[in-house]
Amino acid sequence: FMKKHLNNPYEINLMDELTLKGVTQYYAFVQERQKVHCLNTLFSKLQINQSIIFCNSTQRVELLAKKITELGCYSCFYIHARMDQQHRNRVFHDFRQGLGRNLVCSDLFTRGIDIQAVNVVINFDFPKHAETYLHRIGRSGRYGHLGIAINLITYDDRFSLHKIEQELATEIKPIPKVINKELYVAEFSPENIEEQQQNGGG
Amino acid sequence: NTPKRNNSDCFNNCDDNFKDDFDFEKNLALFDKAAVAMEINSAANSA
Repeated sequence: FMKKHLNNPYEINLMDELTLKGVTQYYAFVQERQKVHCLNTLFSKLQINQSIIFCNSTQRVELLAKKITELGCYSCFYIHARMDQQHRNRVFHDFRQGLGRNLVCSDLFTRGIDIQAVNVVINFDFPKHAETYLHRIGRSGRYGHLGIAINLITYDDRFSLHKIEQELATEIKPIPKVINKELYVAEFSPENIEEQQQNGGG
Repeated sequence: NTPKRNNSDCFNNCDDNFKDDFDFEKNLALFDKAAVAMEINSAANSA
């Protein structure tokens, strides 16, 4: 049908608008009861500019946001699908303005994350579908920014992990002991270092 | 086949001892991703 009716078709796969390019993907293996501890350690170790943390339900968004606030030293916003649109817009706007460092949310971004300041995305709950994963982690093509994605994987997530890697033809690697800052911290990216050297005139 | 995530495990009975860092390496050692992938594939092929 395509060959017969379309003359030199230009194929656009809408999924291609979102890209995993520039995003280094890691997983940490955890039990449910270790997740908060794991997240706390990530907060303390990573050089986070802004982060988005995804949960799989609105209830878990609220519980996690409460928990993070209890931990004290981390500011955090949250949004989920059961909040009214006006409230959501305001929180999202404030986050985009950089008023908070962390945003906990459920799946309500339909076009991927396009906030440049976000350099770390954490899947507190691993999604079940490749499309959801791509929307959470993928970036619109026009932003060629670097970032890391960290997936908290439980034993129950093993099928989803395998399926999503296969469907997106990507690899999610075990989290290394030390994460190279060049992968997600703008000041350390090779391009910027080169620029600085050139501007500084040696 | 998709078990409901356990909120009470995650948020009430969680390991609250945050004095030490979470041990990523020790936990990664508990999960052999390649072996699990092979298992899933072979199960799919024989089905």
